[in-house]
Amino acid sequence: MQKFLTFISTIRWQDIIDIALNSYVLLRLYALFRGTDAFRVLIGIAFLWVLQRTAVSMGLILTSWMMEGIIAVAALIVIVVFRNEIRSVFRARNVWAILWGLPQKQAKTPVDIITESVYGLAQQRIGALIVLPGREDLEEVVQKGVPWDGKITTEMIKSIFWPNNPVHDGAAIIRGDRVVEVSAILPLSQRKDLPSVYGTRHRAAAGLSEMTDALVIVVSEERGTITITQGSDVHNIHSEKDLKLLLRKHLGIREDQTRYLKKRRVELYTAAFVSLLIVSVVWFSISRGFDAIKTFDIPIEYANRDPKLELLNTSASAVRLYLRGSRALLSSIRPEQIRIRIDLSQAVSGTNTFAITHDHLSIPPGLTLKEVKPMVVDVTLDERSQKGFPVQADWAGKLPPRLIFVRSIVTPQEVELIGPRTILDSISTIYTAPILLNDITRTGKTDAKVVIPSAFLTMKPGSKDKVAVEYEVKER
Amino acid sequence: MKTQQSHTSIGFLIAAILLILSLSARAQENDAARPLPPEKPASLTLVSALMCEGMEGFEPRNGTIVFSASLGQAVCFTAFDPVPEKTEIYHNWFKRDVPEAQFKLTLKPPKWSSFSKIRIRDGDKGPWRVDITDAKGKVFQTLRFSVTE
Repeated sequence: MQKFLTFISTIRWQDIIDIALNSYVLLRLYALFRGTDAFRVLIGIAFLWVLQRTAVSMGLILTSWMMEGIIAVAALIVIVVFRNEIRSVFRARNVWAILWGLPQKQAKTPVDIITESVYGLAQQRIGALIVLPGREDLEEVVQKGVPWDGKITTEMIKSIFWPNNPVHDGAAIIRGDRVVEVSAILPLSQRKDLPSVYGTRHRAAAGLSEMTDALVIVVSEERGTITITQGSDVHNIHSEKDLKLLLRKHLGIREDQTRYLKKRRVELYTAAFVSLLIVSVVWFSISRGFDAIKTFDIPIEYANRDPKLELLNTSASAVRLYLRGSRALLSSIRPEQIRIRIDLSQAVSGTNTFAITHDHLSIPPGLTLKEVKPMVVDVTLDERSQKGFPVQADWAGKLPPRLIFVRSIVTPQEVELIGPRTILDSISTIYTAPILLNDITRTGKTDAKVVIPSAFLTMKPGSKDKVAVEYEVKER
Repeated sequence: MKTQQSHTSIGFLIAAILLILSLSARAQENDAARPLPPEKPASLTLVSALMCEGMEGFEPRNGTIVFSASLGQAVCFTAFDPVPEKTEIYHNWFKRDVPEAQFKLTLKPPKWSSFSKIRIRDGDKGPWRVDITDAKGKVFQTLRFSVTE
């Protein structure tokens, strides 16, 4: 119990927001894609992922690789194959509906009126083609017809397909309680197994059903029969009851609507709970699963140094951190996300010792520090000072043997350097860059660059970094 | 009465002369008794210092500041005058500020010349200096030279 309470106390408000946000995103995806084929395939992919992780944990190398490959390919296939379905999910709704709104049932399609109209047309041997779209978008498949937007009545449906009506050819598309489009051209099926009595109207109905999840009603002009195509199925309708049943099933209309809505609500709450559960498990396994330790070598940042003091030396320029956390989180961490900063505002001239503590560290949430090496860092600071040094020419090479190098005079004889006092005190002479003797044949003059012996030192502002060297040689 | 006054005056005069002479003689006696202030001894003075290739009859030969490593040696010659008393001086040899050798040399009055010598090899190439100091570390002079190819 104590352990549980300790664990709960480590949860931050950011963690709660993190879990809540991701749970909501998962729930929204469920709400938007529920009932689509893409959703079913995604569930399959999720199942494959669980299998893959199981295979990894069991050490089944080949199986885990194969699963990983299948998941990658499957994810790609889902996007390609179900692009229309995915697009229709997002296109059919505005941003608010995607982020917040629950899937609303559109206006109830009047199944009775459609059934009555279809049977009326069949009795009168008037050919008809009526499309009832499912969830998928038909735009890419159906050649656009004439916009209609009329509320469904038996008379209107009959009049649309009346032989003398200019728009009687083609299909009428019904959404909700309205005929939205007439005279639409549907793709023809290429199937060979369709009965020979089926004409173009039937082939068009079968073609659209094969390519989408729409249901299409066909009334034969020659035989007065009613046929329904859905998916790859072709049903001949023999009674009004059968037709109504198929239409209701396709349109998701239940007799007991209250019960249905209650069931939907329960389903949504269950989905919300499952989303929360899944995200919580994933979150805790990523951020709280103390199953790995990883080392990081992180350079130390020294900040807020007194400008009068020079950072002369440190016992360590980087420290090794042993961080503990879940394997997934540790593998995603980059060294740049970790910082070690030592505040030198209170440091004084000389050696300052700092023990590396949590205050100096900045590590991503979800990780804990197990160990740090070295635990202590010595930082040596020194006051800046100025000092003059004699300059000595550094002769190099080989003087012609017949000559003796009598003397040389360097001008200026001294240079002033600025830097840490300790370093200045350790130097007694500043040398020039090597000056070659090989070409010297007589007394002369040359220039030479002054070599600053430490990166901590600089020349006094305004000083030249070159000196003039006069030299005298004579014959032996 | 007049004669008595004249005798008194002469007596004063004689007495005054005798007093002056007496004081003068006393003063001379004091001067002779007081010792003269000690004459400040001449300090140890470096009159000549140079680097040379060798010594020839107690004289430096071929003064130079560039020594070829093939020469094999470098000599630091110093001459002091006066040398008030027997004392010691040092020749401290440095290569790029790193001490390489120290020679303790004894000087004897009234004047003295001495030298120190090191062997030089290929590995000794670079700038050198010799600090000439007394026993307390006071630097008389610094000689700078280079060892080259």
